[in-house]
Amino acid sequence: MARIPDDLFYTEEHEYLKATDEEGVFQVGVTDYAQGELGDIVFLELPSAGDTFSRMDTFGTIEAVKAVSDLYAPVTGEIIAANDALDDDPSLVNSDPYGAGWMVRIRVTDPSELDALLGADAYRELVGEG
Amino acid sequence: MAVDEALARCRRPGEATLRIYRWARPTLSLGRNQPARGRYDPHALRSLGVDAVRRPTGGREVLHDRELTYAVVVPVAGPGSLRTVYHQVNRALVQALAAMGVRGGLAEPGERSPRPDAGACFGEPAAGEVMAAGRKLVGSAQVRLGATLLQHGSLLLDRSPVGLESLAAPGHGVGGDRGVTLRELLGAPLSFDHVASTVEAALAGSFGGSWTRASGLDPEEEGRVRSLLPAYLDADRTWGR
Repeated sequence: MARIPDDLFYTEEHEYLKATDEEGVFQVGVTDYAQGELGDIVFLELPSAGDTFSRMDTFGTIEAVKAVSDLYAPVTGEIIAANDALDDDPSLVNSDPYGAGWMVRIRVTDPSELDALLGADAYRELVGEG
Repeated sequence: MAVDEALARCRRPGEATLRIYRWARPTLSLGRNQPARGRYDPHALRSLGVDAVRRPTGGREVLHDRELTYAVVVPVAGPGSLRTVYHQVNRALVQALAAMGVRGGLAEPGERSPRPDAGACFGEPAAGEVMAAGRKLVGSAQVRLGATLLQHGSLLLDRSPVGLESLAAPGHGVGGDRGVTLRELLGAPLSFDHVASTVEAALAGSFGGSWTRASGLDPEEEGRVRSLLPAYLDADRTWGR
């Protein structure tokens, strides 16, 4: 059964946002459910600090086994950092999706967009684990 | 490859597409994310008449030559659908092989899946790929475009006289010719049309629904191919990574 922590925001594209110590900055990654469904993550293409995206823009790609999927910006904002550790070890997304396997940190431009994201219960329902 | 992507980007709700094709010239295709710079010798490609293209799908390099290439475009609901379709297509291909007198099977899960820089696609099977006589017979890869999945792959009919190793840059081993071909398995060649119709029947049976055979692209798909083509012909896109 996938881990779905209560204190995160989720998207229908199976990404999560986790608040950081810096106000308005969130850590973004794929959920434990998503990594389990995708299988072995072998490559990630992530944006650079300073890049800006609107909600649902493609901000990178993730390759699992031999399947490439786009990554969608869950909110409008500016990339503060990308997780360089995934260049050397993309399997961190599989082993620790909510921790060492984070993908980017994003500064949210419009906090009202957070209201449209899913809570843990809604996400559990989405993936059939409610 | 641009046609495959166009078919995926133009998919209408409730529809799926199977395309079967072959190559006018030997062509080296590179996985969407695999590093290629410095790995191949451009002079060797030119002198041997080999084209090169960057695929929209993942995985590693394939030398397309004497093969049947299939592309399946289907709707997908979530991340789990990718593996479901992968296994559905591969099981159908195993059925097609059985109809041609070849006993195939799916590769067992091994260690962790190879990274895009791990050497040629046919050098090493990934879990669930189509095998025969202990060697890889079909190599496949996927890309998810929103609610649509494109999976395409190569069924080896006969060994290419070119050989992937002859294209490698000096000092770069690419380990690419370890797959097995239908001709080697059967001891005689099968016609492309026979293999194509057998594969078509197996996939249509596996996915169900009603199928219509089309002879070409519709205007929307043709327009999308034209808009995609410059990127597919862009040498920087192919070799810049």
